Amino acid sequence: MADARPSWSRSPLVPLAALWGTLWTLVAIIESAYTIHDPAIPRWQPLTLILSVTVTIAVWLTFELRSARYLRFPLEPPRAWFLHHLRWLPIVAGGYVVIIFGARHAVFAMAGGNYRHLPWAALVPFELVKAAIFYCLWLGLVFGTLSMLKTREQGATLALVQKALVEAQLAQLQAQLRPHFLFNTLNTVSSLMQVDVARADRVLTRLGDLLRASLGAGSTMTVPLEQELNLLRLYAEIMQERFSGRVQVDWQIADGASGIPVPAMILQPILENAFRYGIEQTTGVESIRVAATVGRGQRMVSTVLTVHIYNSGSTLRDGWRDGIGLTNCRGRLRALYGDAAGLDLSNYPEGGVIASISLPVHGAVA
Amino acid sequence: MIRAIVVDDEEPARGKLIRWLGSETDIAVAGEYADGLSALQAIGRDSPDVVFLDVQMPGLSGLQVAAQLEVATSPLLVFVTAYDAHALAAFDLGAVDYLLKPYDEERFRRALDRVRERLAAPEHRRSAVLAARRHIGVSERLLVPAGDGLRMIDSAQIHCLEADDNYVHVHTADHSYLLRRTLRDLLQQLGDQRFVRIHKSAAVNIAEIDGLTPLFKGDYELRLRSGRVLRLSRRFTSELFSRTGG
Repeated sequence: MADARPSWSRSPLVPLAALWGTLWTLVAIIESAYTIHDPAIPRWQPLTLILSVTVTIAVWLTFELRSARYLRFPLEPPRAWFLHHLRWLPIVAGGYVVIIFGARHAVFAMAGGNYRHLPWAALVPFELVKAAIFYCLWLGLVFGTLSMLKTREQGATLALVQKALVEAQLAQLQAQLRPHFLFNTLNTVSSLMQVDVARADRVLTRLGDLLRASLGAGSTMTVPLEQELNLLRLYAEIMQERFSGRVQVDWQIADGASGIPVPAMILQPILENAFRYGIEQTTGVESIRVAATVGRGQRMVSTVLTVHIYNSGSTLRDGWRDGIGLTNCRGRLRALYGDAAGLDLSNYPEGGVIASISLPVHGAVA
Repeated sequence: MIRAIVVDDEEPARGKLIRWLGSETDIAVAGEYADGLSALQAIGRDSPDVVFLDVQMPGLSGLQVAAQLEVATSPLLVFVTAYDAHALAAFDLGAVDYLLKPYDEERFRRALDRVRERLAAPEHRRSAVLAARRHIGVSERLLVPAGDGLRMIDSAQIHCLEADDNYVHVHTADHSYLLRRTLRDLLQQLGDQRFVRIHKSAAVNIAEIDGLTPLFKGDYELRLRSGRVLRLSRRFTSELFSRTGG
């Protein structure tokens, strides 16, 4: 059974609650310690005083853990968190006094004893203040514990994201600078420079830019879409020189899309696939289209950037599987955006393959 | 005059070879092609002396083109490749030479010198075709001329092969193709898993054999599932029986 909400017994606050219950019990023991050795007072009397506190606190803590309200309310900003939970202070403190003293009076009455304590006018304010102070301390400890856990968790997520990025860079280097690409491009330069020095120079410069971009991309996790598109343009221009006349590349970038941050080098492997299957393995004139749009997400609540990379000339076969490049893209999207981002490949109705990558405009989870 | 053709799917790569070949007085460029299939057709049609063959191409790769050629009549092959570590082994076995992209003019001229050497001494030809066949394994597919183009057929579809002078008739269920090859070479390409010789000038697909009827002097009449009847020569009976477990 997969339950989205963790069972209360697995709450990270369980150890803290156990500690807190023990502390209250100790306080109750100390409070009634002077009566334990008094021969005039029967043993059940101090025992009732102590147990009334222990049982009440234990029941209260159980409800606290079951409600999971601490886990649900965001820790940031701390002020809001404390104010939110302090709303319960009057109920907690008042409830504590009523239940403890109600229980004690009831037990004493049933056992035929006489429960003597300070006059109500002095006792109630004293007990209320005590309960309030202890509740505030409890909140402080809960906040501290949760903050610590969250920091640790974020560290783990960050490490995961960084690991995915490093892997992507490696795969990127291996893939983009696939020896075939590099050597064929160099051969293109070698050929062009005999007939058109300016064109040869342009290809060589593009290759240099591409190399630099892929070597330097390690320092950032996300880049503006425009920067990623520039990388794609460099790659596309080189491929157009190599396969001169065999490929037409179109760009349709929506206004306002350019500045949206995207994971560095997330689109490159997809464009590369488009060339590899659509152009390099066909003999006709084919086309590639790169389009970026900004729109509402499926649930109409968030803004989503969608980039389509279409290529003619190839078809996804039944049972096709992701290669290294696509596996990596998916891994990085999941690490950065959870379920909010997606990557789909499908056969286009009029022929060709379209890859669509969509991600939320407002920020990654990590 | 040495007749050369250039095969590469990238135009600048072809351009470079054609320019350098064009500056040689004893070489004529007979054509340039951008994919393996049209190269194969051109080789069959024009019988060039040497082919500069790119390895990575759409459709048929350079090695697949080589594997479909006939050993005895194959032109000299110079493979041109960007990077193909495992294919290099094959080149060493049989190609005249190979050029690694990018290459300079000096390296190109060295390759040309080797081409001239081999053309002058044909008896020293080692076959790149055999090496390519070994490299890509037994060919399950056969390219046959059909109309103006070539058609790829699965070797399992072939019922039998009949030699006729320098040609081989390739019979399938509904077609018969004429290939300018020797039977020996074709059987070598298709491998001996599926086909067995039944006399000097015929071979059949073992899976297509329907029955045998003894004739005189140890010969047999061999009937295929398709109804075609062929003669099984005495000389080849033992091989057939051992292969069919009979």
